[in-house]
Amino acid sequence: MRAENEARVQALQSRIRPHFLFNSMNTIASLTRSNPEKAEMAVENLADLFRVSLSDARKQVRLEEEIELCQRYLEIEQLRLGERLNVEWELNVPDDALVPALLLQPLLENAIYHGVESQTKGGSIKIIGSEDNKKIKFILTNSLPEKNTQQRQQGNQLAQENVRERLSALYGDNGTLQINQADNLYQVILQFPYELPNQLSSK
Amino acid sequence: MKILIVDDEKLARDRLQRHLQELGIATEIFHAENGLDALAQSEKQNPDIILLDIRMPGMDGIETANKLSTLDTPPAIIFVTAYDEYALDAFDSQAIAYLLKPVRKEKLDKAIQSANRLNRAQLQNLQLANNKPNKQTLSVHIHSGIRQIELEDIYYFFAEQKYVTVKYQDSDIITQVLIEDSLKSLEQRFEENFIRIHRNALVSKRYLKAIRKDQQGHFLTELKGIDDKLEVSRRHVASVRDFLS
Repeated sequence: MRAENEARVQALQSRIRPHFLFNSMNTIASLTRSNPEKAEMAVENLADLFRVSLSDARKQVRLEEEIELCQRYLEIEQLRLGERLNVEWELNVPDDALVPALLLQPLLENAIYHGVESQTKGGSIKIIGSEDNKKIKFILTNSLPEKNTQQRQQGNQLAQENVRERLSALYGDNGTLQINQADNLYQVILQFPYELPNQLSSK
Repeated sequence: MKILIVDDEKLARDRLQRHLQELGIATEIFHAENGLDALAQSEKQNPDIILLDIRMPGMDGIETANKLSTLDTPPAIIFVTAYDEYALDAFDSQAIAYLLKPVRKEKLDKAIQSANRLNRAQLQNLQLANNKPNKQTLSVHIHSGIRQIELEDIYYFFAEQKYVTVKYQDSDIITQVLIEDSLKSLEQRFEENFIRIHRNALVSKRYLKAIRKDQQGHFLTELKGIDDKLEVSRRHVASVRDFLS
């Protein structure tokens, strides 16, 4: 059973969108001249992101590492989108919790691609993380473009399904991903058990 | 030479502007952040060349290009895109060239030189030729990007609640896609090719064969190549008959 799940998880290697890669390269090319320090930072962030993205999909990391990676990802997007991107974090989670690598980042990428980037005036993303009774919960909320604009396109739910599958492969019924959608807001709620590295050492 | 740079990202615009300055080929450079802004700037500044990003919020580059081509003296359009496989198919109808980000200075130079060789009149003819009815297309967003459907492949548009269904043929297979454009805007854009038959439907003039009354007294369309029958509302019966006669 475990082997089968591992195979499933491995097949679910999280992929970063080519769109993001080429736009980031363009941002860096521009900054190389106007602001070499920022360009340097962007290259470092991009390298970290791709290192994780190219690593084994079964890899688990400390929650603080995943959050740091998300922050680096958002730093790159902030350079590109400037004032159009507003991010708010509200974290109250244990740093040492063990989570699948790239658990949150693909969802943030969705929030930018379908939400923030598609709004002429920009938009916002809010990330709330909490822990209660050995369960960790993340609520990611982003604003959406006005209704009836062409930009409001359906995604193919690839990233979401990917995260959902990995959660369920790792935690069974205890790992869930839920979607709420209101008029101009899109919300993803993740829940999974708080596990420590040594609890999985039997693996 | 007046050049308008259209991109929703400031750093992307800055980089193209720096290239242009270093190439020394533009006398004036203008910026626009989105499609609507680009249309306004085009009317005001009358640029010779537009460097047009494809994926932008509000009005995207493809739609902007379609609108620009209706201007009296349309600028030469050079699409600039990060990654969009379908958009590359789209470019040949409207643009002189397309460039991939990050854009190389030499390629930008080459694209501008080739655009510049065409004077306005030639350009207008070229764009008119490209816009002749059988080449007109509708760009739709699908999960993997943007796709162009030729108008002559579309049987009809049918509106239901928030979406409009586009029924069309793709290599002889009848298929459909949902879009968010309003029927009203489609009617305005494609009035030469489509006729209104009902509050909720536009039918291709190319495929509309006849209308017939069914047993309940409703008028229904008969279309070439597809069995679907659409209702013609009473207020449109006369104009549809006019068209058919």
